[in-house]
Amino acid sequence: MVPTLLLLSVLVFFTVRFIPGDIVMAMQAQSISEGVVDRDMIEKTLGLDVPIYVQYGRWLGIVPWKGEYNGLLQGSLGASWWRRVPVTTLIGQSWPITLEIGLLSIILSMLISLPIGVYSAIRQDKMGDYIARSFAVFCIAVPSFWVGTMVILLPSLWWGYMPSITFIPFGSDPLGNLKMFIVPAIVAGMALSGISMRMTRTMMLEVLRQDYIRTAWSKGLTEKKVIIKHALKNAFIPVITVLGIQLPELVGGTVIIETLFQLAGMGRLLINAANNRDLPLISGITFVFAGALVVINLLVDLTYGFLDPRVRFK
Amino acid sequence: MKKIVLTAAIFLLLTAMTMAAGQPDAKPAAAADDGTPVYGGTLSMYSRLNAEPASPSESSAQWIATFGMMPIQETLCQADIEKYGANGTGEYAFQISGYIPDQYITGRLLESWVIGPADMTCKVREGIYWAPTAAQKAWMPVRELTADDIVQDIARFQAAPWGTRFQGKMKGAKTTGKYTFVIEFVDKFNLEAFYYLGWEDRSLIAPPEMIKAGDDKWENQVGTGPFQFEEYVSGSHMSYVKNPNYWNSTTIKGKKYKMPFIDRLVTPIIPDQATQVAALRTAKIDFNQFVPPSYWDSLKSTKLQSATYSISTGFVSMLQSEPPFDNLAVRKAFMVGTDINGFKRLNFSEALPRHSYPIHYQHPAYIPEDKLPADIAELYNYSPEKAKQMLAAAGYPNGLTIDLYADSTPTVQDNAALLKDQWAKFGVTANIKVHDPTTHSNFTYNRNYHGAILSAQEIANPINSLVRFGSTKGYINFSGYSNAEYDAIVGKLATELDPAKQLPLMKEAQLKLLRDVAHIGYYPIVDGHFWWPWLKNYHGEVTVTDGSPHSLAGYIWIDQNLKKSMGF
Repeated sequence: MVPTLLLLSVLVFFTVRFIPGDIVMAMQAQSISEGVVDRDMIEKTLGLDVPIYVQYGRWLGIVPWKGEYNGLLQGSLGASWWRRVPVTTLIGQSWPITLEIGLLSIILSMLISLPIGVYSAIRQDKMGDYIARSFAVFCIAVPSFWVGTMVILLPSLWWGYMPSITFIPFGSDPLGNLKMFIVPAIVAGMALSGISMRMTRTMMLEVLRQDYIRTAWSKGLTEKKVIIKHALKNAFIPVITVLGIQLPELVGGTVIIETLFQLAGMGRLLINAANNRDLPLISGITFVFAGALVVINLLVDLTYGFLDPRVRFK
Repeated sequence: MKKIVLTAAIFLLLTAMTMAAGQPDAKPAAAADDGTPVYGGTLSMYSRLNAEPASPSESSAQWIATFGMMPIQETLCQADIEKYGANGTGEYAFQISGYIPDQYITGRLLESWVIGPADMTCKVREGIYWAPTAAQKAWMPVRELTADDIVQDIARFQAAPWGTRFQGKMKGAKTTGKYTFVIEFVDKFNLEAFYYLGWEDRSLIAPPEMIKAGDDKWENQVGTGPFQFEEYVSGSHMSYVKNPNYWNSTTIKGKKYKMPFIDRLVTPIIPDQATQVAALRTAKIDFNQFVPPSYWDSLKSTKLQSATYSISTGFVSMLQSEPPFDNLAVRKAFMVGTDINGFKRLNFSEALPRHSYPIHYQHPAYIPEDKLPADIAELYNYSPEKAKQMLAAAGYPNGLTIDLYADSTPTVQDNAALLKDQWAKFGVTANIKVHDPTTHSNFTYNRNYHGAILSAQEIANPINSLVRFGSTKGYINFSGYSNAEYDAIVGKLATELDPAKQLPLMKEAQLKLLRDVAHIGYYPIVDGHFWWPWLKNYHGEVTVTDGSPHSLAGYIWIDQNLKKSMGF
């Protein structure tokens, strides 16, 4: 784990510095000042007047700056060059939003995809199956940014409706917060719904053809018991795998959803940081994202043990 | 199984109902009142905040951050909308940002000033108090604004990264009394320096206590303005509350009213254009300063009011320090080979004159196309055949290949594609090089591109635009055009106070720039701002200072009855 994180820190720190342009250029583009912005002054303020390996050492926390060690090893991701606020503070403000979108997307997409996938498998080659499969393909094929834009524009045109544009914290108004997040979560989870739906249908069809299912039918069990108690749990295991693979895409894809729906999550924070060449913020977010994905994959692996007794850890 | 499907369907229905629960109440309210201003309400105003504002500290050199400070802090001067705007004589609409004609400037924090040969003696308005919030009172007393505060802030401005703008123009300022100070110039009084110091967006005055407490924190922003800082929710909005002891007032129909009228001002941060327009349409915001022209038709069915104007121009810079554009004949060929009307159609600016650079078409110094000298006027007559001949005569009988730099925004991409197509007709192959805006700006400001580059700039202030576009060190002189004669003209212009003498200098500089084809102004950019009719005492002005409309928020009152009667 430690060597992985160290390698990650090197990759994250150095690769972002290959992005063309720097923060002084970004400031210059925005400052519209007479003459050139005093580059030396800005570089000194931001600690860019030293070699890059020294900058890395400071970021890691093994080289002091202004008399103190304040890097990754001390639990600090540095300060945003653009906003002069600790990176951890900015991430702390943004990650709950991305987490909420992500969790709601997963929950809603599972609530949509599982019943439809199961129904589609049970009613194979019937009209319901065709409609469900077409819907799944639609969810996968249509880009979420297009759907998101239509969801913003069309209700505003037809019904004069739009979700809140100012953030409502969950603590102050839970219902208002959910109202704000539910539509973007559905849009964000569309592709995942489609994929899960198709995977559920495929696995259900396979499981339903198993001998133990035929035995269950022959014992006279109801359809509900056969499907839910015997078939679904086994069919769900590969769906979990797909979920684990799709989660990074879901989290990464929240950038567009956050921008469209006025949600200041990690994705939007990353885009702004990239546009402004705010390298500590880019490095910090990337590092946190990578770490989060490691944890997510671990959780996915642990879920297998819950679903399948054969893989439970001893 | 059916139960599961039914449950899912009910859930989706509930979701849709929850979504729909935000619809406005359709019941009509009481009729609108008789126009007497009413105090109270929240104004939501969108302008330019499509990304997180940077640190508000002067040392961060961020212009867009000033939009967040404008409701709280004030400038030394402003536009005199009381006397010359809609509530006064009505002779000037104040619909241009970045420029206030000299005769329409009045003092804001300054009561008066006297211009000397190389200085400016200023008198601070008495009875203006700093307005700290309850939390800020821990380090900021409620005290009167003094000359010393302003002098310290000018020094801070000069020491900031963008203080380079004063180099060679202004020495500094010094206090001469509790309410008086003197600004000293290097050589003579300088109009450009006066603009930067007097009402430009960054000339907001802040107290020394705030600098000491940390001017890079939004919650520390203190000023003398109509509002006090309330909160900044990252990615969502900034909000302000009324300053109950604000010093200024406005006159409506002959009666004086204390400002501001509204209790609260919210400036949302909305990165996406479609979301900005949807928010305006659904009255989530009351005012949107930059609605793209492509949305204007769709807003016609609403009861929104609007004002369209043009303060910027798109231009092609051609690097003149190397071939082929070091050759004037080549530059002229490119100008003749560019169909400006095509760009006007593409960018919704057909109603505007095609000759839109370097001076704004509404300024007295502007020379209309039909009044231009023949040798300049003929450059505007699009003819790919003639351009081909001109290029051949300039030494390129087989055409040439150049790089054309464009940033990644959709409008610029469309323009680049059209330019490529037009130039191909007279034998020029343009390789479009696309970069993100930050990298693109590096090429423009540092002039380290090769070939031609696309940009857009405000041209409302003729002195600034003539100096910036054409003087050797002009910072938007992306072509690297350098002409000693031109530098002398604009050098004289920057220190000429007599409007009657300024006009001929502006015309002379304009003609020189056009004749030398320093750049190709290829289309006037049209902007439009929209607002709901319940915003009263607002007549379509863009700003009373430089670029931010937030300086107008103190003048606006909200007709709540009208708003309710319209279903919002």
